Amino acid sequence: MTPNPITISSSTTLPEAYRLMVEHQTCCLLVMDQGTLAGEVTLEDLRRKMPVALGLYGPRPGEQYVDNTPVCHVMHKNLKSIQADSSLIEAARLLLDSHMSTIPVMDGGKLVGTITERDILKALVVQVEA
Amino acid sequence: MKETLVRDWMTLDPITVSSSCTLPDAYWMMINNNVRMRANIMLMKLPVSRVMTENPKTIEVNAALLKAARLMLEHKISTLPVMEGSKLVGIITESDIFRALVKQLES
Repeated sequence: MTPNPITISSSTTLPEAYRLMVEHQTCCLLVMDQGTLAGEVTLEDLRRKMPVALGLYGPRPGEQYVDNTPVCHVMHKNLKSIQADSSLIEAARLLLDSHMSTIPVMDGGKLVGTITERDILKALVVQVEA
Repeated sequence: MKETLVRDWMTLDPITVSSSCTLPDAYWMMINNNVRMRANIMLMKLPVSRVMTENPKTIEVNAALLKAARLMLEHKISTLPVMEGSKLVGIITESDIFRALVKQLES
């Protein structure tokens, strides 16, 4: 897993979330509200919902609202998470079943990291080649 | 996994664009959305050749899936064009290989 994932609050705006993704070279940010995991937002969510703010299109009258839209309007809620001591295959099955690219890793109720398809692929390739 | 081939898990007939296709057209093709918006004039004229990756890594259709996985991890890429000789016949993604591996481990 990747420890200490970047988190934002649900009131973070879409352009700010995008800026953080670029800065930290990640495609997914976890949303925390008052210490509780509230959801996650992916680059794909932003691409689909804010092409104006991504600079692909020039602004049109009435579209400035995108700049102020908080991520709570586009984030995925009711996230599945996995405990840090779960097996890799359990995490893999959860990723496939939930159709998510990143799953939060918890230690009890505390967020301690994230796990992605790439993390598991890397581990499995090393295992197969050993 | 060593016996599983790229051809068993790849996506056939990928959507392609020419290098002169504009960024907005490529963008809308990607998200498969028919809604058109007024494009920024500068971006509207930019061809994808200005931002594309030239000479991308590719994989042969009969290569082992493990070879494709190694290539992706080594170069930190998530999609490989699948070639049969010099002809593009499909694409294979990190997710395709991930699904194949999980299926194999669970069987």
